[in-house]
Amino acid sequence: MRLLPFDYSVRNLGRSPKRLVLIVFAGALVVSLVLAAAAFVRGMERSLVVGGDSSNVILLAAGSEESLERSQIPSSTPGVVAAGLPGIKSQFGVSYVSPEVHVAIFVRPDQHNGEEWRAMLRGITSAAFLVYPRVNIFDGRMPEPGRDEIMVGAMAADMMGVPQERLAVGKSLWFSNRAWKIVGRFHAQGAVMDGEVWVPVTDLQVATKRDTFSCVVVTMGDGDFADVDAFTKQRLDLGLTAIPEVDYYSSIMKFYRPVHALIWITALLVSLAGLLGGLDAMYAAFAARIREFGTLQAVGFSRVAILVSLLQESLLTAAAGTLIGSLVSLFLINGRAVRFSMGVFQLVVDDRVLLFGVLAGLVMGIIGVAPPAWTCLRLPTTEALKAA
Amino acid sequence: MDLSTSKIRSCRMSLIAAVVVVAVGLLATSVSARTPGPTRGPAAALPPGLFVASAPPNAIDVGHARKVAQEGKPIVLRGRIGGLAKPFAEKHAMFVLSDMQLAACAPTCSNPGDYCSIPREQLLANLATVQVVDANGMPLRAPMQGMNGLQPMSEVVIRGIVAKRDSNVLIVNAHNIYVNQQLE
Repeated sequence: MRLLPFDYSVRNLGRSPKRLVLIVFAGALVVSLVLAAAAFVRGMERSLVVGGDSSNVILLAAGSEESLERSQIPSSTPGVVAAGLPGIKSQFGVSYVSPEVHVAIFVRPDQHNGEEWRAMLRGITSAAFLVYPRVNIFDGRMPEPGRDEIMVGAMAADMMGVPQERLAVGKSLWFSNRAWKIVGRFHAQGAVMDGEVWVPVTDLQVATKRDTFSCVVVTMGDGDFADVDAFTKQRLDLGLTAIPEVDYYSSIMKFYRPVHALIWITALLVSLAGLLGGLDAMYAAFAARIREFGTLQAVGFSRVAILVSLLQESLLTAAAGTLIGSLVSLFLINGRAVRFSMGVFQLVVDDRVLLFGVLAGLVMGIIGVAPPAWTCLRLPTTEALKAA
Repeated sequence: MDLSTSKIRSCRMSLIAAVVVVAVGLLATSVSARTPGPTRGPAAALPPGLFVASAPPNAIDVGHARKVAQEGKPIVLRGRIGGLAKPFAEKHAMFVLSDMQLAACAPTCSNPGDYCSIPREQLLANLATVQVVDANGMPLRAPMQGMNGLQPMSEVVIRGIVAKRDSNVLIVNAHNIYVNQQLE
């Protein structure tokens, strides 16, 4: 089969520059939207999946499985767990047992400023760095108990809606009737902790007027989740329930599935509108070229060869739109912080998301050209040559 | 030649239909992902003769046993499986037994077996842990839920040895388990 030269497709694109620009722009818009939807889902997934460690188990109060903030367990529980639960990972005699307090409160810039920012606070001990090895302090140091010191996650400013400089080391936040000095900043590689403020657990207990913990996080070594689960059944007096950390964050992810579905449906509907607009443009463009198609058939080119040429035109246009949409997404969407109930996560435009966007753009290019091309090319050559 | 308007409309309708099908498929995927996975199959490691066809005689209630049981002594215990949202251990031969006198939550409660309406102190005083152990006294790594009709809220009679009893806990190593199938 003799194909039309590639130049023919390329030069045809310049016949109507305005139409070309509009189609490319529409394609870019649709691809950007698809990428934004994918980046949202991917970003939340990465935040929650990274948040969970497969060997970590959360022990929290029975009946509070759905909310760490609501859970309250006695202060003696971490010691009982460390002593009685077999299989906990340990190093140099230190067990990987992290007692924690989780609270969401409003903090203020200082005593006299009435402005309030919502912050996720986690009371921790140094054991937190054992059970969350991905957490690293990149600026300053760990806060010391009893000195009203705190450290903030790399995305805590996004969570609170303030500039990054506001949470620099040396600045302070006001809550619980006193100023807390920021002495460190940490990075949790995209996990939910990135949006949190970490406080020495005893200080946070005093600040929130409680003598209980929210949970105990343990990292299992020789043992596994089943051992922790059995421990909670044997020690009913502790009133604990065990959840694998990965499952806890997965349950939060499930909670947001309807939101994800809505986002995808919205993206699909807008894509459909873009596709229909593109189809309209293509029908008009091809209808004006029916005689040209008849002539090409008369000089020996088959319908398939003409269809391939039209596909090349459409795919070139779609590729240009996809390229622009991808660049826009990379520079304007990627890394944007989004707040949600658990904290904050970043929109992620990574290789998988980009591949999805590129495929969506190219598929639209194919779907957009197929129906009008079929309608025009199935006419007999004699009728096509007589077309107006 | 003019393109037929009806052809354009039919093409559009086909596209709309295709997108709607994709959207519905996406929703269906989302819904199906929320359904629970298949339950674990029965384990074979439980000792033969564990489940018996008739109830061992002279059974006492869990609440009473919490007061009178003695470590190392035989005991026959009667109760209902429950007291926690998940009374069965996930991978061990172990479950939580509650006193029959405890009133289950209202049928409208999402999990009647967790006795969420009963004060914690009262509930704890009427719970016991039942486990099946190996020769070393360690709980067998074999899930029991579903075995011989064992389910949350099943009424059972246990014959075994008191492994531990203090003011906080009562743990019984079961030798025989009778499940009241009439209630199943």
